[in-house]
Amino acid sequence: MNQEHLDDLARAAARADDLSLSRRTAVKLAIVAAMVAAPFGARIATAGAAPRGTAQFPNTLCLECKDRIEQTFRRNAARCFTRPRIFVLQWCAFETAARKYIDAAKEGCFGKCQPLSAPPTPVPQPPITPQPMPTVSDECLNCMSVGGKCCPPNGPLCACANASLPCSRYGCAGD
Amino acid sequence: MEVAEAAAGSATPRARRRLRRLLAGTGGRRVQRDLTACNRALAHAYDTDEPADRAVALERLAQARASHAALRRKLAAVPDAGASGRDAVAAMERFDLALVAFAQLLISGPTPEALAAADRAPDLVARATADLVRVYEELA
Repeated sequence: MNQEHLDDLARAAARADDLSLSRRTAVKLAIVAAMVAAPFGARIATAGAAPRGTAQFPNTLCLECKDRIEQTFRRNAARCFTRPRIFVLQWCAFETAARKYIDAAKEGCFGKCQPLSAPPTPVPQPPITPQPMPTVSDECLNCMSVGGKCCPPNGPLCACANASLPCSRYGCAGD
Repeated sequence: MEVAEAAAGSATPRARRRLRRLLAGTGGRRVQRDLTACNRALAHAYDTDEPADRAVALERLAQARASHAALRRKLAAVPDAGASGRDAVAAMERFDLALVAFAQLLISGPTPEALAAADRAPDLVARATADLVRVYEELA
């Protein structure tokens, strides 16, 4: 139900004031029924549409909040049509429209529902593979077989007993 | 006799006719028209949340304030209007305060001050409406 439709109903309600009491009551009840029965979801559904080209998601909480406010608005607007034809009817409609802002501010959905940015996508982790056992070079094995120590730990060099001397393929440098 | 009625707080028949004409006639219709435009602008600005649409709504609010002020002045100028006239004028003043509060919310957004002022507006409107409907029905 859009604002123009509401205005049409307001005019019909105002015209009804010239009718007899029973006919006036019938017209106003019909208007209230029309207000309550009208579908209202379509307009709300567009709120919070994500801008083009961005991977974004509708802000569900905000949209739900707007939806509640819209329902309250419709209930309150339906009550306006029982007013007499002077401008208090328009005041009722105005206050109902303004109250949407107040309710939205109170409930935390003032303004347009901003789409949420995409939730962080998990970075694919490389599969955990068992670390290969360090291979030991033949030279290292030879070194160890004669009581030496591999240098670096996997070889291929053989450490000298004198730690101040550099490793060499053949044991202590200079040997 | 008419002066005695006014002194006692009730409007003279002429003042009653004049007040009623003002509320339901041209002055009242101008207020109706401006409020309707205001409603439309407010609803549109609520849906789009565009600053330009909000500015239009504020402009309509200002127009509505102007027509309310004009009607209030005319109501206040009715001679021998008694309590009905005073109540009608007071109701118009409350409507104006409510318009200002709503405008403030539109201008500054949901600040605590604007929200507190806007929160009082429905009570102002309710009281003004009740008074005006009572006055209008008493004038009939």
